Amino acid sequence: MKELVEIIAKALVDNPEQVVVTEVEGEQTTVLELRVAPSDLGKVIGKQGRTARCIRTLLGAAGMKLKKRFVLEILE
Amino acid sequence: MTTESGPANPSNERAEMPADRLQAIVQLCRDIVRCLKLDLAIDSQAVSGTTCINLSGPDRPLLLAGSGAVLNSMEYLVNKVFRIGREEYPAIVLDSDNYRQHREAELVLLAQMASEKVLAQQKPLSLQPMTPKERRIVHLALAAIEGVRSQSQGDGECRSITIYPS
Repeated sequence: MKELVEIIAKALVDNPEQVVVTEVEGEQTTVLELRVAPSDLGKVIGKQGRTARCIRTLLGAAGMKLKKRFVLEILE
Repeated sequence: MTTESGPANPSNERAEMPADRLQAIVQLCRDIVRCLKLDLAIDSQAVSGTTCINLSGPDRPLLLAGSGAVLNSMEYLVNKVFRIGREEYPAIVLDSDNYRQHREAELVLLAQMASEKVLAQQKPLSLQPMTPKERRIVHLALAAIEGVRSQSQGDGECRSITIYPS
């Protein structure tokens, strides 16, 4: 799922070269940490967190299919 | 502009979305679906004023679960990437084998049934939260029904319609 977050984040931001996603695998939960340029933070979060929520919805669907849980964390 | 400027793709003359842009949109949809490990085929169609992307296949139920949550999320993200700040391009609509059309019929039916209940009980009734497009369909359906009026309440994802007897 690292690739998914990377693809979407890079498509949204102005500085795609500064998009970094790290995947922290747990037993049932995988945490995806997303880092972007400070000026792009708003782009990946969106109005009232709508963009971030949409990405989380997509991760939820993948989680259902793969019987796993994916958590998206956006780091400053 | 219907004059043919060259032999290349005369059928695309009236399409407002440039071909390379459409291709990039389809590619983003394919990338998302592939990363999500969903089994869905994607094709595109330019219908007057909108660009329609159809997703169809065995994983359609997952795409449409919870009133099309995944489909709507993908639609929002694709529009955000390709359209925000560039509104001269047509809106991008994501659909799955006429889901949008069926959903509209379902919402109109819901509006009718809910208004019957409001009229019978003479009490306001709140509906489930919906997307702006869905609320618009319900408001329009309710506007045509006598004896009820409708209003949206709440913010963002929680915004929902309440039907009142009038």
